[in-house]
Amino acid sequence: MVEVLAVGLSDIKVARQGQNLRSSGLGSCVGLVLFDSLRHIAGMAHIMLPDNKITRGKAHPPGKFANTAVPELLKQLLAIGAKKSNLYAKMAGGAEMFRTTTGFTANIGMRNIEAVKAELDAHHFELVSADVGGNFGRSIEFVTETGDLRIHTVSQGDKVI
Amino acid sequence: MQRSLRQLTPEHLDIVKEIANIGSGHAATSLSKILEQRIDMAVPSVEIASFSDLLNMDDAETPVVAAYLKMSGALPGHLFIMFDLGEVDDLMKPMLRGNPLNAEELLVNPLYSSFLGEIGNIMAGAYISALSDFSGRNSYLSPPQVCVDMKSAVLSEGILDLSLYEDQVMVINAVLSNGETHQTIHSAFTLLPELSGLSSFIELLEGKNG
Repeated sequence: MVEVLAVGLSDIKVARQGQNLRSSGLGSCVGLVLFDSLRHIAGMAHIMLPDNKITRGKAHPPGKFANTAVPELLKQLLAIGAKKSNLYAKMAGGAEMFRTTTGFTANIGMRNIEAVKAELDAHHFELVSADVGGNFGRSIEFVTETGDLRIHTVSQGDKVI
Repeated sequence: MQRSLRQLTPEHLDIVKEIANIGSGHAATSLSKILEQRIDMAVPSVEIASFSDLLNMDDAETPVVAAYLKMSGALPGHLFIMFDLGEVDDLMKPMLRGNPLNAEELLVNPLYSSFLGEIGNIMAGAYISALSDFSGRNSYLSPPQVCVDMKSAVLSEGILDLSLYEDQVMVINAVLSNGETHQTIHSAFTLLPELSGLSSFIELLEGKNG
């Protein structure tokens, strides 16, 4: 029996064999997975925004921003026994649900994708697969056992990357 | 002082409910005309919900039909009017002429999405004009954008900027019903004010209450 861990908005969670990681209803948010396939250890971050520099004082969870989520995800994975040299990345999300959003949320899906990619590069993580962009929402589940990232949508069908 | 929806008292919410009630009345009248059937609207409930309540995992994936409108003027913010996908059939009956409706059709048929946008526009306009009358300050609405997708994917768009200083939203739940068939159509009207709008909104309620 596989246990499914829900990764809510701005959350970061890690899983071992027998546990899957799931984020429901990603719009412009990005679901990022880092996994160690040898040890069957994985972590997922539900990232909302590219960069924490836009914050004004209030404390925010590290999973909220791409630039703080990646280091925190790495830290938590290493803590449960993952090896950095064997960590690979998959991601999904970063859609543009509406066209009118202006100001700092303009093109936020695309900016989230770019920010996550930049962070992965900075940490020398290889992005093995991604399903990003478009104008539709996605729910994702990472199968720690196999390394599959299952993607479900309302109108664009389902797939595995 | 940093303003927060948390500061609203039950008395403040009663005022909001009264405004929403007036708005609902206007909306029901307009919808009755466009749908060519009697539409009744029950007294709406108003609640302050946390993001995690709003985007709870149980119904995060529920497909909804949403009209999104940007508010500007006295109360800048985001407005989402959402219907259950399963109940939209009833709302659109006059247009469908007996044909069943599915999500794909809503997405690809511009006539349907513009019709739903207009429904959203009428409802949002009715609420906003009630609010403008009450406050004596005008708010304006962008043209609606319609989207059929998972509830959480839609709503999270509106909380991106709000989430930097606030973790709660105001939800006005309205129930429409067809006066002849008594079929009910649930709609949720979610108001996500920007920081500047939030301050003036709370000041306004405090002024009227004091």
